[in-house]
Amino acid sequence: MLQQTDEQLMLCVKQGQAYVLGELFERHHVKLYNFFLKFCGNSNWSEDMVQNTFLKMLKYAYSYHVSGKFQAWMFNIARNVAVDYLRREINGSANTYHDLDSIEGHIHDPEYIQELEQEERKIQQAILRLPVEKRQLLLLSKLNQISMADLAQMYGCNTSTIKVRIHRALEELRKYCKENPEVVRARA
Amino acid sequence: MRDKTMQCKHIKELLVNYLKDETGDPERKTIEDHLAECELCRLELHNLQAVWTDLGNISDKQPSIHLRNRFYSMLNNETSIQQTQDDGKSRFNGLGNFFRSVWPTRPQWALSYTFVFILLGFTLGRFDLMVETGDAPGTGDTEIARIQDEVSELRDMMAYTLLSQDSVQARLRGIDYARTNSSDDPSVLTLLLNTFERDETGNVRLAALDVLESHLDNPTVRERIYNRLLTETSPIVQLKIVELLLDEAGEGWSDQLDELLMTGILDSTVTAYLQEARTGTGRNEAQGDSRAL
Repeated sequence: MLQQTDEQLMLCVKQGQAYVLGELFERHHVKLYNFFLKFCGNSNWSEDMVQNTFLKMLKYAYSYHVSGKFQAWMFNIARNVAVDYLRREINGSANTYHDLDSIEGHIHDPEYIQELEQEERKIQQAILRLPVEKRQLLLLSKLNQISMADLAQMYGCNTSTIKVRIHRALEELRKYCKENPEVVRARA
Repeated sequence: MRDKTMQCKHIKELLVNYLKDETGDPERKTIEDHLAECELCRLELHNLQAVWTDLGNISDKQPSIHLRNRFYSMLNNETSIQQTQDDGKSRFNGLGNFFRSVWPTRPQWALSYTFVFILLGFTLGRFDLMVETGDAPGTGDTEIARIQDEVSELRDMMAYTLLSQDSVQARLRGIDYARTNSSDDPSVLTLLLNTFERDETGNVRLAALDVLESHLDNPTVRERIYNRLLTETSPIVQLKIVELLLDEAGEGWSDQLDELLMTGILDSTVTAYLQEARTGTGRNEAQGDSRAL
């Protein structure tokens, strides 16, 4: 049996075969869960966000374009779901990324953080200190291997601008780690 | 000095691509040549690379079993809602919903629908009047035959209208309408052939092919189905065409199918099926696989 690509499966969903979304769930839900988990540090919220992402994929299947890469489309929905969810959970009145970032302390799941190895915990905590947009950019570009071209399309800018933003996010992460050496020890 | 500063600035902009391994060979060489000479940029890369590597070292976790349960519960709920909506549209009492789903956005088609309903009303009214006045035997039969012709024309018009819609569901309904009339009306057969050759959706092409299967004794139909095989991209449609040509069209197509095998334009699964069929082995197994595609 030929294995259909993600793009072919999503086209089936777009054409009304909603049950095909189950196959996409099996392929991608762990990846999505971990994107959300590293983004917000809360396992319950991350499961909610995965659910919301697939629900939006079903409801907005008509907007999926046959020439687009499925993963880029899926993560574009996911990053918006993440921000909307955080707004509701942390501060109902926050309207921009910056409002979210100004909130003191980050409500993460202590159990998740404690389960990480020491070095993992340190870098995860450093990520949670970053502004929301920079967090998302780093996670999407590094962990989910979204290409520069797809990231640029997701953020509505050119590849040069995306490269600069990722560079700045990395710089900020590095700076935080340097100023808080007890947080992360960079590998030689 | 200024040139070197500009060069360092340019190289720093490329470092992210370098870290992601998205640089082409010329760009990579430029970066590596500069790094060999510039200690500051080497240090910059080293620092960024350390953080970049640490980012990838956070282990993945598995979600709880509840996530899967919640998802499938949501999916079942959504597909039930969709099924209820689809059932509502197909019922005669849901005629209003049905026409709303196929109502075209282009104003000129509204005139077609208006004409169809006027003709239908006139036809039914004449039939009713004929029954009331008790026309003599014979004239009633003629009238019924005329009405049947008019209903057939209505089905043709519905088929034409639905097959030009953007919605895949509407086009599939159009093929259903065309199915009944395809035997009697050459223009409907032509419409089905055009849909089979040009529709962008594989499922619609497959549905049209299902109807055309009953017309394989027509040489034009066979010829156009074979020609479509040369450009068909969907493996499922390719497989269906090959099955039809092997089963229905008989030995006359052996040479052409052998030529196709040599060109390599068929999907690999379809090629394997055809090869097995030509050698006369394992055909049933391949048919089972094709249903799962």
